[in-house]
Amino acid sequence: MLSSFLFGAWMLTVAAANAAEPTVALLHVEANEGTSSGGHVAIQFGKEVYHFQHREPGILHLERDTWSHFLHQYSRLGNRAITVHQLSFPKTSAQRVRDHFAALRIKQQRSLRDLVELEHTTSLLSAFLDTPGGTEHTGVRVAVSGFFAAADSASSQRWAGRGDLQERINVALEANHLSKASLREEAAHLRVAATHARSMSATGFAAAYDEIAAKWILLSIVEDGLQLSEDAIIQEETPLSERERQAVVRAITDQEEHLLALFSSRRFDQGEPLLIGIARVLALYKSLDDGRLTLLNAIPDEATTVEVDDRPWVVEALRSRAARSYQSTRASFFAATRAGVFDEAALTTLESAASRRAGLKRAIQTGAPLRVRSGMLIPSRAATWSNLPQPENISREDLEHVRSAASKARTEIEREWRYGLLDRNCATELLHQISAAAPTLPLQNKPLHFVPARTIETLRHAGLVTATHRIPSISEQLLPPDETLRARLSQSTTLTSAPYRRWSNPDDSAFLFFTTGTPLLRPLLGLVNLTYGLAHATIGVVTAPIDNGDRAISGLRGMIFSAPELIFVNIRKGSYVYVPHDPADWQ
Amino acid sequence: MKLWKPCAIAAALIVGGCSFSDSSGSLSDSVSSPFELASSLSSSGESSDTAYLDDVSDHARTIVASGGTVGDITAGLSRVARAHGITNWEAADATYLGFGRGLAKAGVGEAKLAHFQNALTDDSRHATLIATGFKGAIAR
Repeated sequence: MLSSFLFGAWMLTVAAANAAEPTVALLHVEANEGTSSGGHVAIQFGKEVYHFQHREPGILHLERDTWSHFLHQYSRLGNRAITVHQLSFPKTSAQRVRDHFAALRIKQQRSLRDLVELEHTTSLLSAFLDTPGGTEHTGVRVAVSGFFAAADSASSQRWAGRGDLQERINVALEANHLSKASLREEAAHLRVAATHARSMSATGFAAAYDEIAAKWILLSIVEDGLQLSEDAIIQEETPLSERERQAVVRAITDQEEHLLALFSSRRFDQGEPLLIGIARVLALYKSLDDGRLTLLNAIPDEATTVEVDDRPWVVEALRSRAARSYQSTRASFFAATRAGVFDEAALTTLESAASRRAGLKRAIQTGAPLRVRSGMLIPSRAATWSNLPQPENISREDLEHVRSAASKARTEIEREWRYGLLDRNCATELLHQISAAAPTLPLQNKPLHFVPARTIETLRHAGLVTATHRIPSISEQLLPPDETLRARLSQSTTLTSAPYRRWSNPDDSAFLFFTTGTPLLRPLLGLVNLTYGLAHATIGVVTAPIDNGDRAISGLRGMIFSAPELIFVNIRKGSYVYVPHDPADWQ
Repeated sequence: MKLWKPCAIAAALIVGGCSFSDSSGSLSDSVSSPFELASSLSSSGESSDTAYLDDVSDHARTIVASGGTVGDITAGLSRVARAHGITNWEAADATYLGFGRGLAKAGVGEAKLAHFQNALTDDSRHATLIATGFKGAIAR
């Protein structure tokens, strides 16, 4: 009990230090071609940044990033300068405004997930109702179940300790009255009408059915002898040291304890975490048996794929970073586990790093497309299962009812979060929400407040701006310190700039001269860029049968973004597909 | 001369205003470069116990303030936890501390704290952590 107090007090102290009255700033991101060619604005609270992005199908989506991530996205990859306007809110208002944005984001996420839940329900009902007769149904994809293989008696005896785990799980299943008969009955009685009135995102029909399916598969894999699929794991080549073996034993003990406690949880969604927990314990047992660290491959099925052939230097940089990241997370995991602190997030971080490293290695070795996904990668490999229990109390009326509910939910989201280029964009909504959070602030929209570059004027007029500084774009930061004429010239064109040739974004339009740092020469260089775009577009007409018109479109876009340069206005700055996170690697 | 800049900015807006994000990725996926995805630990940066605690607190505060129940809070906790690499959130102490702090920030009185403690957990240690989070926020 004392340790709970001490741990809680320590964590709250750290959290309180982080959450102390946040420094607030309005961030103005300069224009560039591509997305947000009119510029972008965001509000920063300490390490957090909130901003509205325009998403399909025409809605404003409230994003939250860390400051470091935001900086990397916009200043480095986007090659845009960021002007930071420090704001001084009255003491309580800063926290209130921050809490308002946090709550707004949660509210929006709930609405979007409710819609996803309704669409998932529609999909399930359609599948069930199109499978007439019988109580058994074919072809439902169940998350995480792809980590398990069919019964294999020969290998099931190979993994020491697994039999004990199976026995303990069987005891837990019995104690919690979990059986296929009970699940079949639960599925049979599952009704749309009984669930649709409750929160769709949490306890709706689809969530309830997914839970039944996950538990059904859990029972199946226990019956089959807990066999992990060999192609769903990653195994290190180097052997575990004795101390690492001891840490793995400790991790197994802790993970099993948490796993068994989960069987008697009050949670409505135990199924998926149980499957993940079992797969992880099996991977750790395999580590002991084979003497090499074995982890679940966490790259999800729906990962984006990227061709790596034409960017060997980018892939090499990624490989190097992934290797460093893996070694660092591996060392942290073993250190913490040896110290008696098994932390699930640390294991997830290690799986994520191992999976990314393995994916890059494979792509480099085989030339296969690289499968990528951002964020923490929780193992989720799905598989299609037949013979799952089927709901019996569903009808076509239910399907129509849910379809109608989904349609209404979609319409409501589109209405509530509608994007408007001039009347409701990232700038106007930011000001509106600040005003809603702190109605006593004297905010009066100034002319052109919908233009991101002018948004700050409304806050300046209210006396909230205390200081302003500018963070240069990466191109500006890459200019050599000596700034010799030769160095400047080499950085001034897309053909001679070394960083641009190495990391440029293939989606950039065709242009020759960067005009950001040359305001007086801009019309002249803009004319050259316009001509260059025209030449590209002309050649593109000829090459269209080969490149699907990509070159022609790039040339046309190049002409469009050259036009403002003729009147001294720079929008296009070039952008990058990859920039090392460590500035030491930029040159 | 005074007019050219607003006109140019307006022209830029017409070309396309505000940041556009491809919604084909996950809800939290705002990474602009696919290569960046290959090395990105998280679109919202590195995770930590305190970041998770903050998110649980925000989640609990928002749900309670909008009239939601403990059931509504726990229903959403799985998603909050997943973003931080946690599936078994009942085993994470930060869950209870964040829950307690969120209740305090939502204006739940001390008299109602026991109701929320009982509704979330049977474990006295976890109940203590909720109270610790609650009192820590009140003290601030």
